[in-house]
Amino acid sequence: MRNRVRYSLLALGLVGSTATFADCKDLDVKGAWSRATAPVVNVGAVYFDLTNTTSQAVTLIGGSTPVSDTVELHRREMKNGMMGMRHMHAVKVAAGQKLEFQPGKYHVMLIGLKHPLKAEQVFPLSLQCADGSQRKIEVLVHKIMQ
Amino acid sequence: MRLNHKPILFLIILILMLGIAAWRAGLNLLPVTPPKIYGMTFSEPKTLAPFVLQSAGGRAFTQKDLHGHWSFIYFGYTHCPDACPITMLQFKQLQETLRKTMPKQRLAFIMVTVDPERDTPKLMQAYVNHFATSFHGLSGDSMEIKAFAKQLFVGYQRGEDNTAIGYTMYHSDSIAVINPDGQFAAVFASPHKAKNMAQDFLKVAAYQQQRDQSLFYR
Repeated sequence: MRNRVRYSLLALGLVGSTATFADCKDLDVKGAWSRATAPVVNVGAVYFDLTNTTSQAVTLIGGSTPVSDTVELHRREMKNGMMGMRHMHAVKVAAGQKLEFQPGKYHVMLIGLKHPLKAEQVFPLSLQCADGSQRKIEVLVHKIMQ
Repeated sequence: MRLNHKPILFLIILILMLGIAAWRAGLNLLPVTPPKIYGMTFSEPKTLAPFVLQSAGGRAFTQKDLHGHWSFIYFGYTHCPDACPITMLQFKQLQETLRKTMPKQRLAFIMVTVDPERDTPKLMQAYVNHFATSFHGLSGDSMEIKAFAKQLFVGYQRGEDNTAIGYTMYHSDSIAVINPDGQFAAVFASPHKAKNMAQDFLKVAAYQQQRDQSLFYR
């Protein structure tokens, strides 16, 4: 009897982890960090490595955080030999795909910072997916990043 | 008819002796070749046309402010959260490295805004102060900045405005290296790494010194 309960729980766990519908909250997000900001600027960037470990593609559309008014997804790009950044309204991450939110690639853009980001500070950030699900992460503010 | 070789021989010996004397005195009679760096060193530094930018406190910043020391100039804007802080951090590391390797060398680190509409001189100085208070943050008249940037091979244009920051800017990511005569001497290409820039700067400065000592350019 005891074993049966055990196996049932295990089965439930397996079903849960291979759910047919990908959920943003199951995304693997590692090493989220941001840079301390100058008191005069009202923008910041958040970086991390994101892997879609679910069996389905997910589409990131933005996010929210208590430290800024707005959160956008931006990608660095070159145009006519000049460097700039593009606001990505939707970023599709295929099943198993790793996406680098790192300097020079993608970054989460914090716009309208309520206070400057201070070194050692940790703040929450919710990444929003197109299906309405969210992945909550914690971001560590670094003093200097090389 | 027999030629008298004596005067020719005498001339050759004289030229050789002068050459050796010049070489012993640290002077070079031959042209020198610009070093290979991550970017480009100009074989002949380019003299800049006069310009007027603005620094904090209502002070003008002109070509005269580039004389008497080497300068590194980067163009960016304060609404830029990714590339600009990265370059400023590399500037800071470059400054720290060169202070150790060339303690007597006077150096200026300058960031000029490509977005004078939003970045005032005061804002620019406050921005660079976040990285090092010895850095210079400059703004100014948009036409002046455009012309100055063009001289330093830097282009920029306004990007899309479908973002909550209002609009983004597209800009060249290179760093201009200015010699103590206020001439455009070299370009550092991106991505910028302080360690590489420190090594490249030694080459650029050494080239300038060889060039100054070469009689070929007088």
